[in-house]
Amino acid sequence: MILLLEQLLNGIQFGVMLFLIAAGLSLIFGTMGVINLAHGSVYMIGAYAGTYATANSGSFLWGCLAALAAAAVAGVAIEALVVRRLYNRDHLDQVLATFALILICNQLTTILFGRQPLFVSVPALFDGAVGLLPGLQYPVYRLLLIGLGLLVALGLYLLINKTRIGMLVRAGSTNREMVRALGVKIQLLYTLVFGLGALLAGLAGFMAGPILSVQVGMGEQILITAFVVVVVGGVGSIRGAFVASLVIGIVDTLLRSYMPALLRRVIAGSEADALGAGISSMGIYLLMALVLLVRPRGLFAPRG
Amino acid sequence: MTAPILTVRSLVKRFGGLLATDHVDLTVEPGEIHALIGPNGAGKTTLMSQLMGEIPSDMGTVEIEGRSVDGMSTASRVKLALARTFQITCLLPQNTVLDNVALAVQVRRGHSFHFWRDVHGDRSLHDEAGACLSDVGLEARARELVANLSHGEQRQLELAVALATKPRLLLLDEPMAGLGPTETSRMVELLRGLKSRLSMLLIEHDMEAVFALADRISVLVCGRIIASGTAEEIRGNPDVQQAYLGEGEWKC
Amino acid sequence: MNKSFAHLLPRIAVLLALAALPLVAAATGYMSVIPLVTRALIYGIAAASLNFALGYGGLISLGHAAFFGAGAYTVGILYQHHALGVPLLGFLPGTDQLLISLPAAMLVSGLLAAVIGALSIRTSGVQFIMITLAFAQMLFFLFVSLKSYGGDDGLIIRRPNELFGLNMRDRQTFYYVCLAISVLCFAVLSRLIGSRFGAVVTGLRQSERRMASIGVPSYPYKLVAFIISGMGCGVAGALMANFLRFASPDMIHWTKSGELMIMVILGGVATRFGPWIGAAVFILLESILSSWTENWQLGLGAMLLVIVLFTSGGIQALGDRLIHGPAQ
Repeated sequence: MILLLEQLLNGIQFGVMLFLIAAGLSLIFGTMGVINLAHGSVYMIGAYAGTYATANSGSFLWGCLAALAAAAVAGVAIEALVVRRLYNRDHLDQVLATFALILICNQLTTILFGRQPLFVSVPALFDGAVGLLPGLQYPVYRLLLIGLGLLVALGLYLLINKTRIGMLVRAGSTNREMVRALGVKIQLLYTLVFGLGALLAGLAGFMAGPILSVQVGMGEQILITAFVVVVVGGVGSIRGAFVASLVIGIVDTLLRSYMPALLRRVIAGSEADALGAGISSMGIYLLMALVLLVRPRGLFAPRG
Repeated sequence: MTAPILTVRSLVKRFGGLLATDHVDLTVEPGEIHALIGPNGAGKTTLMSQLMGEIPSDMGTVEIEGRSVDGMSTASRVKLALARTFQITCLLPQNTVLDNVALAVQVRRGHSFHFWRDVHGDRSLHDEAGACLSDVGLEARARELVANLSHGEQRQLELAVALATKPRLLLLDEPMAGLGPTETSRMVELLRGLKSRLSMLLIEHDMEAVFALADRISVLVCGRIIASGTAEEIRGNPDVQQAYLGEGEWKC
Repeated sequence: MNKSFAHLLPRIAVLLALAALPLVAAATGYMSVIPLVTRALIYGIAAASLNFALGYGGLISLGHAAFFGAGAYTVGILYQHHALGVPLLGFLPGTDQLLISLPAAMLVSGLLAAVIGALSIRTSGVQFIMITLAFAQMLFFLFVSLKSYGGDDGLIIRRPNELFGLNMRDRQTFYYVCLAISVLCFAVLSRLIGSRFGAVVTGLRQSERRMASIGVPSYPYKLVAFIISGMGCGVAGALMANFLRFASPDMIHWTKSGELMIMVILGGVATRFGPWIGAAVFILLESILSSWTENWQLGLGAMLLVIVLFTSGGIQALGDRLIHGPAQ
């Protein structure tokens, strides 16, 4: 039981991290109609910049600021130099151009930092565990992540539903042409949205560092999981991204912790472990397939 | 007493708070041209999209030749002898004029899971396509790429493609839009000539063309049919006159 | 008559050049050219198959590596069971015969494409791209976890499959086999593109709305196009497994899908020769650039970015426009 609660919390933590990335993806696609494969690269840039800054300054706070700054700069640069030219292009061009960005970012990172993963330790302030329930000690850092993620979700909710910018974003995701025709300073809106998405991704990358290792290619792996979230939740829907990321985070974590054990009862030895890991990795994709059977447009697909 | 070729009963479509189609009743009798007029934003194109099955209706039924088509996809409705022309031309830009029509002929003849024979060398397809082009007067432009056609020629091609599917009911979405006076009268002649072969529901703004062609006219304002009858009845209808302020301005 | 001869001449010339290649290579001593061109041909088959769904059909799939890898693993798994003498799943005998493993690869990748396609084609646009990517990744994880078939390290295939008693270990022989299969693939795809089916598929890419309004239901045609392209990638994967004598999860990794897409766009989307030219250029670039620096992907990425942002149509489209006039 305790183990289940712990895994549930881990799942929620993974989920909110996924949300940070998926929300950015959904926002960017909903507002600008661009599919951005390089979103994972910004996640990686945030992780590397923040880790580097933390290691050199000894301060977690500086690391956090560095991660956000680097992600914001990278985001704006990517938008201004590449994505801006893709707004009216077809999806194939968007995929290839952003794929090219992935290649470039990954290689540059390898040149700067090498291929070995960087290990980041949890900052001393957040080290240790807290007793949530009798017998349940849960790491403070992970609780911090959960709290942070929920805070961001709240902030996004307020932004999208209570502000003018949010209104434009919502309008844009159902009718892009109309928003453009309104003569709103559309380029500014796009850059802001892209920058916001980048910030979220960079933050997620940095915060994830102590839990997952920091290495080249980390962005793509989580990007694909974020894609699953976006598809399940509904492209362009932040609410969908929130629900879907929690569901997928929990399902994935529970599968990974329980599947190998379940399999070991049926198959012997190390085969069970590897197969268990394999099947639990497949789990969320099978979930996605199931959702697609019933709701091809996702659970919370926006109308239009 | 033959059944109407198109029967629309109490059709409703809402977009959020906006009632785009407000309990519309409409029929098209076999062999007639029924025109649908009304101001911009009255919901004419929305209505047409519902008839084609491109958007789902919230309430009401649509019957083609007495058979309900509710829930059927666009392609299935077309197979029931329905066709449409588009207000903003919707052709295959990278193909030639002949190819566009030949494709419609090919599809009408059955499934296209034929993987071997070259479609460009298929004489029977091309002959039938050529005949459709002659019907609309475009046979001289058969080898031209669609992108190189004038606006009026594209309209003619739209009509040829629709005819190639051998429809019994043709929905026309503002076929005169953007045409000059000569092109308009040519289109009017064309459509008049087609009356013996099929029935038409014609959405149009050009009043001269409407009065020249239509057997019956229905007036759609704010999603509702406010009047329906012959040209004389509509011209004399006080509601229509009130809604129409002379300069082409309509009041909702 | 004149027009068809003009079309045929370059194709015959290219075929003759390719047929003569090993002899020229042997004579001049540049034997390493043969495996290079062999790889280009194999990737050409894969890229051309992807091009059918993507270029002509408008189905932007980031998951075609799944079919490529499935083909490779079919060969590998069948060989392993043959070598061990243990039937697969208890009743299927293994094989080391290309005449069996190649069609088997086509069947497996075709079935896989049918399942993935059936689900993915219910969606469109960005969703479709993401879903195909996700399913390919799922398959990647599956094969990584199958320790009995090599897992992460991949599956070694001790001997290439046999074909009519030819010595498939000989570079030249294998090259000619690949060349023959490539020509066959080119011919089949060419026919498909020009057929009624091809006309519907290219029509669907240009305007689904127009096609619906003449009575074409898009789903079945897109699905069949997807399956055909998946089968083609399976053939390429099977040949690659024979070539490398190795099948690995890397062949299923989504970056492989990206590479195939790059080949398609390099050569020109929706053109007949394009994917083959693109594959050749890619292989050439890869071998030249990687001999200069370990970080050659940086150059590749930069080049790709420039090509996508500043040109359209790729190499063959450019050539076509110069020689023949409007694009075919």
